Amino acid sequence: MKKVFILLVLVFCVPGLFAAGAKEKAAPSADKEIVMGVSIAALYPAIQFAFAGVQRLAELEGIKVIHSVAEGDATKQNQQVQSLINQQVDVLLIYAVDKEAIITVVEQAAAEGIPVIAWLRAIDSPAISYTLDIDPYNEGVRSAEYLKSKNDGEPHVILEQLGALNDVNAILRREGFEDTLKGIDNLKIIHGPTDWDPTKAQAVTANALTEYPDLWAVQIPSDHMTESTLTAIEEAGRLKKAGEPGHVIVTAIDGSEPGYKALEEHYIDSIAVISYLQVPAITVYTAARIAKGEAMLDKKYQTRSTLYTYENLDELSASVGKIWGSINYQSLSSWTKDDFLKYLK
Amino acid sequence: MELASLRDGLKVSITGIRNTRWLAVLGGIVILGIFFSQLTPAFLQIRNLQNIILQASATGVLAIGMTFVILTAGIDISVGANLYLAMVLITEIALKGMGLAGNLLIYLGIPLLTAFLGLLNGLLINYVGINPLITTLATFSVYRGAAIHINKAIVKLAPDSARYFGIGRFAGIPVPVVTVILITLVGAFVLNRTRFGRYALATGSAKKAAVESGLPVKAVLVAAYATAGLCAGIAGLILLGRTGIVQPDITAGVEFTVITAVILGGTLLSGGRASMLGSLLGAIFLILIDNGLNLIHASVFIYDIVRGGVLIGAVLIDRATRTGLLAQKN
Repeated sequence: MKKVFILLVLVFCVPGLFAAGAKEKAAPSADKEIVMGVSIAALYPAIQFAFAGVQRLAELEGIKVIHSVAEGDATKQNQQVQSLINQQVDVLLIYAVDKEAIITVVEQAAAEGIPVIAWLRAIDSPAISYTLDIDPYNEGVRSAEYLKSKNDGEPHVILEQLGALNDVNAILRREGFEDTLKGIDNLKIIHGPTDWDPTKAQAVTANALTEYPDLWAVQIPSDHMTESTLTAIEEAGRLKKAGEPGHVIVTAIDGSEPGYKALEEHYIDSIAVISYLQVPAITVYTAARIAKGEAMLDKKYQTRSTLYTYENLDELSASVGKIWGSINYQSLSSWTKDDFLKYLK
Repeated sequence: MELASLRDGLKVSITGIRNTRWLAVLGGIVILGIFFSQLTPAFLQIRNLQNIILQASATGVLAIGMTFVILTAGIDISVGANLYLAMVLITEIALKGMGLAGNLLIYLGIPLLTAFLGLLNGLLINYVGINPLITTLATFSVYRGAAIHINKAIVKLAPDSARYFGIGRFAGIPVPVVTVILITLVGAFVLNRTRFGRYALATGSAKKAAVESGLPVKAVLVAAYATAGLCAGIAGLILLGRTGIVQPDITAGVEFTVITAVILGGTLLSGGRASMLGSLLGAIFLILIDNGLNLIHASVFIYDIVRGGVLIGAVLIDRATRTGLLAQKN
């Protein structure tokens, strides 16, 4: 009898529990505070920087931000997004661990009337309201174009470090890099898998320099691995400043502090710097418009990278703006609206 | 009955002391070396052999500490988090500019702190009675979480003074190599020539017998985890010095590499048999695989398959040895 009673409770209550959350959400009225839910795959330095900016600008604009960090765990992220849906946020930003695994909760959010923005990593679903992405393919292209500009026609070997093999950004950076150098017969590319781990970046660079003592160039897919790569070059007796005889050309992507410092000291040659300084303003104002139910002309915005080289660093810093890695993310908490908006110009 | 059990336990311990299973991993290194050297002349270059030993140094130090835990039939999967915490603390404190004396204090103090965190693992396992896997899984999360809380998961450049432990030289030999050799020698001495080592082996091979014969089993087990913590701190110094940065992903999965190295080196997962030299050679063997695959330009997609295959091989060897040992006991 007791079991039958429990069964009946389950049969009647559980569907009710789910039905209660399935109501479509109306856009907030003009005077109501917007609540923005942000689900972050992991706090990589660049993401941490961009998110710190989003938090500060949202605070200045009177937007409430609720966030969660999944620490690279796709299942955990699904649960966290579920929780944000349950909290009835007005708009949801998702930096996905896995662009496939997240689709179910994205569709669920959309079904409940919560617009979803794929943030800094594309999610392939019609339930996505807007995509704000970086352009990893283009970043790879820019590094390769720099090497092309230095190509003297002699036979050369390039070590291309690879990021995590299942990471879409790493894959696209590799494709952009290799597509650009395809067909240039005197440049031979060898690969070094790193899983984004600086110790592995160091190992593959040391290995490459053993096999090819006159290694011509190293491509670093994320410049947080710069310092360990330079250590391997130094231990092989090849650490020279850019432009000096025997220098190993080092190209990198991102614009984090280690990369920025090495570029400033001319130990690396170029960085395809991702425009993370633009991200806070684009994110906050786009999210606010979408939360209010305003129609967007385009459904996608892709930031473009800028190629900073040791030759143009000073000139570009003055005209385009600083490299994000030169700014302490904690200092963003004292920025004004104008500080953010100037990067949109 | 109790005396017989103790006798068996001690017999196995003595076998453990004379364990020469490290010869198997040495054989593996030689075979793999011959294989790779046939495919690329770069493999046998002195510079490459130096690279392999340098790259294996931090893993080797961790493996020595882990050997003490595994030989007592325990497991510690918090070492990677402990190591990361050490790197974070060294960076955070040393960057505040403590001067030479202050830096010395940090470089001595942090390994002691990580030893204390290892000791906490041992206390929870042996005095509270929580399973080693669950305990160290929980402390993995706590130690890593604490590290991330302290440095907010940002990438930070290491203090210049810390680079000595990674790229400095002592009497012309790279400091990481000197460190791993010293730690291995001390580990082997402690294992084979001290009462703690003998007690640890006896505890690992027959815990019940060790308890019944009045050995300080709990204290020995706690000390084993503290040793693993100490080695994590020292490995943290080496890694920080070598990479020049502290970054959240830097030690991801290192505990599994270390456990594989220890098993490959001849230490039984079930405890009671260990080899410090074997653990160091196990670490070198694993680095050698990556190094060789890299030099022969193997597809980047097969690395994980090979590593996984080696782990399965190590576990099979472990099981076969354990079965053989049980047959010997019976």
